[in-house]
Amino acid sequence: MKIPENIRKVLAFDTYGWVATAAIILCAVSGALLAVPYDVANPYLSVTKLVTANPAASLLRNIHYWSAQLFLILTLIHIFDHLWKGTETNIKSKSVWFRLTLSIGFTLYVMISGFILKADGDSLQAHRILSSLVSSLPWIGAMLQQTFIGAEGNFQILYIQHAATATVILFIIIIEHARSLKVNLRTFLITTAIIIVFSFFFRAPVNGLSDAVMKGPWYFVGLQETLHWITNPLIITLGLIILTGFVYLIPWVKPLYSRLIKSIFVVLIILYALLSISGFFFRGPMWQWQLPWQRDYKMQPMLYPEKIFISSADTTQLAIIQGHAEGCVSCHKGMSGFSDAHKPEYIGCYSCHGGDPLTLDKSKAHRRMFAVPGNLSNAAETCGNAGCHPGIVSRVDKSLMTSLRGIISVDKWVFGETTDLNSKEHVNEIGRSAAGTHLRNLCAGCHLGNEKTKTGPAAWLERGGGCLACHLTYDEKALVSLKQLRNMKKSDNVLPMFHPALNLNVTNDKCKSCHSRSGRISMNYEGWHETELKPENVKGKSNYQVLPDKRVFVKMPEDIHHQKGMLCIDCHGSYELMGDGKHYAHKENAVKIQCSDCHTVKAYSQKLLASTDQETQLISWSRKFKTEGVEVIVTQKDGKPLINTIVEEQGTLLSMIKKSGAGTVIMKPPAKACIEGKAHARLSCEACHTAWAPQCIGCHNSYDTKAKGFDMLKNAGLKGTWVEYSTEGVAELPVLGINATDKSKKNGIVSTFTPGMIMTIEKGSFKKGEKTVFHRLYAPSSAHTTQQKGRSCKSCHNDPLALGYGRGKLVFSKEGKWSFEPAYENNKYDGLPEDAWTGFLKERKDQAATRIGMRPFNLMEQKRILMAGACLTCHKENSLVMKRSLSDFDKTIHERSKHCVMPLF
Amino acid sequence: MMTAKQKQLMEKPAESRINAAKLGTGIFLFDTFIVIKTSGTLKVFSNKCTHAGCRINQEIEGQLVCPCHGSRYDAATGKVLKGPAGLPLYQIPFITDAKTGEIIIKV
Repeated sequence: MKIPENIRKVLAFDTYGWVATAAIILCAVSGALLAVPYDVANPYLSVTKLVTANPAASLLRNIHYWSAQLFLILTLIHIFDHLWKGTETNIKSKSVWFRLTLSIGFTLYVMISGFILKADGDSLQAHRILSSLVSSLPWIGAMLQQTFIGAEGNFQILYIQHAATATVILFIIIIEHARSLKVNLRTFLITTAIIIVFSFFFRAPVNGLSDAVMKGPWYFVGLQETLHWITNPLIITLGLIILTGFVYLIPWVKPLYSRLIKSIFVVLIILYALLSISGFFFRGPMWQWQLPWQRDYKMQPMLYPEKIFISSADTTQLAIIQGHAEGCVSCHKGMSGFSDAHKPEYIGCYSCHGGDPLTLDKSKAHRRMFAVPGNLSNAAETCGNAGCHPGIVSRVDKSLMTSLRGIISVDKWVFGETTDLNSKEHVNEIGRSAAGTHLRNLCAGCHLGNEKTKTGPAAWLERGGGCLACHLTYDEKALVSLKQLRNMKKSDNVLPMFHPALNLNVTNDKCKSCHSRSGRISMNYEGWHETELKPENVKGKSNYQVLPDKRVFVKMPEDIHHQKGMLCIDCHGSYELMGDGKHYAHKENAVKIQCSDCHTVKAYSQKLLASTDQETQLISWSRKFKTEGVEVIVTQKDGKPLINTIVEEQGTLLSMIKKSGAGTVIMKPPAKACIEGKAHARLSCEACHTAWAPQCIGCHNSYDTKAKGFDMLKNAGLKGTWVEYSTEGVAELPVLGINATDKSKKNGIVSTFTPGMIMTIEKGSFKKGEKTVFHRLYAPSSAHTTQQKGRSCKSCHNDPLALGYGRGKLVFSKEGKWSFEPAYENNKYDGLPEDAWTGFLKERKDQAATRIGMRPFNLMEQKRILMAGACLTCHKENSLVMKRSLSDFDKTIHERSKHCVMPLF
Repeated sequence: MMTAKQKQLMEKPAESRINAAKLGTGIFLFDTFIVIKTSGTLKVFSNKCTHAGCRINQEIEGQLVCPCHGSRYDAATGKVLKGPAGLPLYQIPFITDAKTGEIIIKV
């Protein structure tokens, strides 16, 4: 036991009280020196300047901070020690004990006022809370507030009280209590040495002005957590006063009561410690719970590493950004390439990249830095900072491009893992069930939360990246800078001069990496259809395009909007792409825009651009739109402004400013044939104007335990994978069916569909004993292959594919009998032709689509369509009788000639 | 001896002028107040959380959020949606300058 005893002697070089006294002397001396560079008028600027570029003063500040912390800790231990041993009764004077009791309050006041004087975001909020707590006291609150705290944003009173009054009072009480300030020289030197060493390595904290997490000093985090649970803070204020009263009573009440009070204090201390742990470790932005297994869990550092000595930094070139010093900009000065809103002179580097802005040392500045800000794992601290885009980041998390809700719910439904096609799902919650693994192997790579790990423009198969997925733009200069950065050795002292821009130049290519799959709308839009060909098959051929992932696409008619030079984002605005804060089940629910918003004789709704919402205004500012007196279209669905439209002359003459910069495009009203008569009143625009849609016949899914697979959520290879065996896709006119979820027409509208999931799933290959399941589900399709001219009448009324029967021969006999000869054999599971949606003149009663409320034509609708089809076997499409039938079909049938053959059903 | 101008300044509460016409619609967070503008209404709320006085500095999906203790208010009405706050946000009265069309907010 000799060695521990020696160690104990070295460590316990004096009593808690004397070490605390040494610490407070050091704190007072360093504080007096710090008072000189501190500027009450610009406190945050003076503190950040001092920390960043004044090493000696910074060290002094650290000494001041750490000596204060040591004083507080030792004082608390000292009090606890006395109360535990019962030696508080040594003090015989009630007035001395009263002043000692008061000194606890003064100590905490000196500590919190010091915390506030650093003037960062946490401090400003602490100033307000302190002011509010003190003011809430009845009768004396206002006086105390004005005497000890002062007005919001004005640190004059706090500065004086911290530096002079409170410190003097504290010293008087210490002298009275200890009867001397004569600390043993050895004690003073050891204490000073410990504090100086600590101050060399650990900085006194100072944070940003609008950091995502606002927390008080460590000793008040428990109080902050307590306040979270209590509606009326006056309870806390009065509670603290009452507790102080109890401390005063301890020596003067009967021993039984004294022990009771002490026991209560022990319980309260344990409770407070638990609350502090909760507040410190498990509270994130906006004081929300954050748990360690959450994707965006971030613990605030307990200690901030310091580097007092800097070798080559030029402290005279310190950059001042929006009222505070920022070391990053001092080194990276002169960098260009930023969009107007993100220039470093407005927002610095720290707002996006984090790191340590208060140093001129490279390694320290880059510690805890986000090389790729904007990933959803850091978006709350970067793009979603309180002063930037917090609302958008929160919306994005709920958007379909982040959650993949629709894809997941349908996949789980076909695997029998959910009974709800609209179930609430999120990509972060995908497990390892059969459906979960299927999604991980084949689908789940395309979501915004997929982490971008490398700087530079995203490669073709690098999906996700949060905000950067759309908003990161590398121009030539930025690419050169990137190359230079990648080739740079650690010893090189060259800084990149061009930064990629964060802007609204969201080109179609940004969408393609994900949207070139499944419905392939990105490719359809530009007029490309995927084939089964290999790159070597099309070498030198002009009509083909080979994507970076080696898929070969053949040229098809492009969408007319693309032909007119419009980009994806010309139609799909910020509230669609980044979400509007609501959880939507499927994409068609989230999309706001409809053809009829723009293609109308008169705008359904319009608004002055200058009176639109803040986000729309910012986008218009960023895109340099004229806003004065300009009216824009407002969508019929959810009332969102279409920022790039122009409405002139009482809602007519609609035009659109193209994002591509190629001027404006006039948006034509629908043709007479579209709006006249009632025969086609239920038809969606897409039903007629979609030129083609990629379609498959069917596929088979089985799990191969030996094949090399890939987990798209983990971005890691693995053994065993689901494999999809499918037929070659064809580009044909889409199938028509009913979308009853569209309430604009009674019984829904006629819309376009493609085979979503005609598939067999060999579930037994994943889990023994499971049966193979078959589904015949069509999915709503918005193919994005719009043509000015609509499809022909016969392509609907006389085409078995359009009617949902599948490919084959649909014949109307002279005797008035419709017959259908399918091109494909009947499937063994349901007896329908492989490519069919419904049986010929049959009605499906089961779930036939990947959406609730969508279905193939029922028997009555089929008969009515075929009735018109029968007419078209004799009458030309543009004949007078067929045109008349559009206005009133029943009347036309009623007035038919005696030669007409009516179909017999 | 205080001049008339000094006396006037001393008596006059701090005021802010906002050109509301140029704001558009939405929720606008200023240093000491929050302006809520819809197509037909304009309201000004204090940005001081009614719970413990923190500055509300975030708007998330139509909710005003206190960063210190997590209170949430409905931006349209100022009513508390989630505690610890118990009282709605203080609505600040304002007047409109007939000449300039600006709203004058006395804080």
